[in-house]
Amino acid sequence: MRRLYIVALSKYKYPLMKRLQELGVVQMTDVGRTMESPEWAQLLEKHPSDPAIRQITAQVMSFNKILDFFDSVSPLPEDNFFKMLFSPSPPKKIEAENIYGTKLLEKADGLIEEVNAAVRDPEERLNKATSEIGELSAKVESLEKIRDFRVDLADVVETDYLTALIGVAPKERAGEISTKLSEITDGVCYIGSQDISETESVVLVAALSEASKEVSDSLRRLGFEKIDVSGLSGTPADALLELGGRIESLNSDEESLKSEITTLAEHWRNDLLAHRELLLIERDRLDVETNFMRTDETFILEGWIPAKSVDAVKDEVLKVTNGYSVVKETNPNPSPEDVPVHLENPPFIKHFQLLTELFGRPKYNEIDPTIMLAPAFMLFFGIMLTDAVYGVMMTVLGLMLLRGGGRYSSSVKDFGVIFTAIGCATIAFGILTGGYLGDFSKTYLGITVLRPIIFDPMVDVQFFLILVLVIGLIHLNLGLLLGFKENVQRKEYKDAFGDQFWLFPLQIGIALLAMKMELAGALLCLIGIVMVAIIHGPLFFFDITGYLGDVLSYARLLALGLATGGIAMTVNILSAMVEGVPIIGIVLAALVFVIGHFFNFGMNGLGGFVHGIRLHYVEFFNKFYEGGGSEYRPYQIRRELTKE
Amino acid sequence: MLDVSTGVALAAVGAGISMGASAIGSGIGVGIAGAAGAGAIAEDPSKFGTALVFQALPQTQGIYGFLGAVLIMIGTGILGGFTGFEAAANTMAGLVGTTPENAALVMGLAAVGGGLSVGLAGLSAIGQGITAAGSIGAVSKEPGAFGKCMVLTVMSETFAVFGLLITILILVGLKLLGA
Repeated sequence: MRRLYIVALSKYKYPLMKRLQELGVVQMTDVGRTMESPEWAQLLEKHPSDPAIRQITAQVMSFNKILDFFDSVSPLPEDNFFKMLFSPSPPKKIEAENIYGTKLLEKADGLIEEVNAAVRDPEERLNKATSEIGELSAKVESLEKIRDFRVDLADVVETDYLTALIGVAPKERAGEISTKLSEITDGVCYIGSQDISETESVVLVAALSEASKEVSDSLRRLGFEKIDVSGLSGTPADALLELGGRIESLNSDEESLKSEITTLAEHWRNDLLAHRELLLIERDRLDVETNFMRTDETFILEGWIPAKSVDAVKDEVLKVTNGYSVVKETNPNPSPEDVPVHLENPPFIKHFQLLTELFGRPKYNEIDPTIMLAPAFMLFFGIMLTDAVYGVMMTVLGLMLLRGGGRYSSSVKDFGVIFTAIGCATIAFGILTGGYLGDFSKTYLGITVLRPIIFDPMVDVQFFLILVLVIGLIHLNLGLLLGFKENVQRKEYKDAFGDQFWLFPLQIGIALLAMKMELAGALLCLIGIVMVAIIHGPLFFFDITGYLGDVLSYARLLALGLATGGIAMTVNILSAMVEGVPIIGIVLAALVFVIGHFFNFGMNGLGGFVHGIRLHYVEFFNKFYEGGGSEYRPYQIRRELTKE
Repeated sequence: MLDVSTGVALAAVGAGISMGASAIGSGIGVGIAGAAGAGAIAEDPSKFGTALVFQALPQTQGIYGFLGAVLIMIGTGILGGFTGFEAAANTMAGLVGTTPENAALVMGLAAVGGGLSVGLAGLSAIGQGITAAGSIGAVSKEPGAFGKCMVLTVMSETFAVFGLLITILILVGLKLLGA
């Protein structure tokens, strides 16, 4: 990464920004932060934000509103989770003309006006129909309750002299209503009621309008719920029939409006989506200016640029500004906190960056551990799954991801490559140790060709344990060497010897002791222990036990490897046992066999993946790696839908 | 008076502890994680996948316990019933040069020791369930923390792995397996 400064005449600002966006290699930073000294403040002022940004934001909101309406009426089909992973539909690409600046804004305004004019009328009619259907449906629901009550609803009205009400009240209150109302109106009222269910009665009340207020008040207190029947006539059953007809015709209106809008959506949607994206790109282009400082006629920008792109960008800048510009680049200062980090790894390895970034992106000047992580992770996973057939399943899963979602999504592709790689490692380790669905090939099919080539994990457990511990020691020492190198480079010698180097004489000493070279061995051990004791003080004891714990932690490779084989063997035994069941035995056995092995593959595949990562994050990275670098986010065109 | 049946009984106890104790651990752990998962799903149903992955982690101890029990049953021959054990005890007696009764006792005690190791280590699933529950909450709020929370959750499992390892080493060391 290099620090980049460009000073240019303001009249070249827009074309320059456009070109830099197309190049997409410069990450802009705020100039204001680096030029805080009063001298600079006298010369420069903060670059104001472009007024067009507000206009664009408003336009984007209008686009969103129309698009949301289209989506609510005719939703676009979306892939479900599995389809997305294994056979996604190709992403949509829309041809768009290459327009920008004021021309784009004008076109967007025109488009909004045109679409709104076309959509407004059907939208209003649709809203009206929908709300009317809602009202009628509510009416139908309450009328259903009094369906069998014989009254002409046209008579249930309020006039100047007479008020008639119909409604529903709790059954046990019906008598009370009758006495109470007679009391209020001195008997000048009519009350008819009929039970409609176990708990409710329909009540019809007719009284003089002059008493209607007291009547409705006391009715409400007694739990009477009024039903609005205005505009209806005939018996409730007749009215229901009529309402049903009206709802039906409104429904068909709604359908035809929807199909009308769907046609509109099909006609306009692509145009809208394409222009929305162009507007967003335009907004990015204008937004970036708020990072600049300016004088009356010039502006200055500052940013990060990968070293290899410097020359190309310099040439382009001079070309666009006709030479009226100054481009300067410097090295970042030696202990930078905020230098963005751009990772570059060989083609196959780079897909494993995902696993490194899960822990933390390397800091600037820090080593990128991905190239070591990839092979070790494959090896660990292979040892933990230890079965050729499971390996084939893993590989097939990886290849399916690659052929499916991997074509369009980079993270699915990363997983596809990782799964394929660890699947192949598992096949290799499975063949070497003779694991084919546990002991299935050996014990049940009797295929002796498939016997273990180097060792049988279930038999030579001790050898297996020593093997994984040696692998662990090699892995840890690699980490220690890297950490030592890093610390020496940073001239932090105390850490280099106290955190890493002391373990080398100690380990060699222990090896020599084991080979019966007591004097030299004991001496080296002592050197190592004294070294860490001096640097770390009395707590050095925990450094020793901690390292011992790290080494023993690799024994999990053995335990998980045996667990895969052991559970596979158990599945085989279980399916052999159920095969003895008469008639359906063979079907049951096949069922247990298939489900059991899929379960084992799933659980131990997950286990192998998680523990493989853990060995790296906790034991390996601990020795030399911190992470926590910030991502390199260049100023570039974010194009998803449109084609140039 | 000791005879072969004492060995059979001890072997059965060993297998039982292995599965039973680790099932308690896994059951409680999965339960704790599941309760947190239900809370997360109540707020956002799309968190089901995340919750399920974390809830599955404390299940491993139960699987280790199951594996330990099966290995004990295979090693001591009680998968083949009383006669299976007797045959295994006779073989063992020939292997180490002692009486079948003594061999049966050794096999039974080895099974109890192995069962205790993986079975009690399986209780680590409770701790794992607690971390998993916290992780479900954390990942629901901050999906980027998935990997880190995964590592935090797997920590408890280390001891279950060691428990299984010791069980296997006991069985192999006393020649119940692999000889």
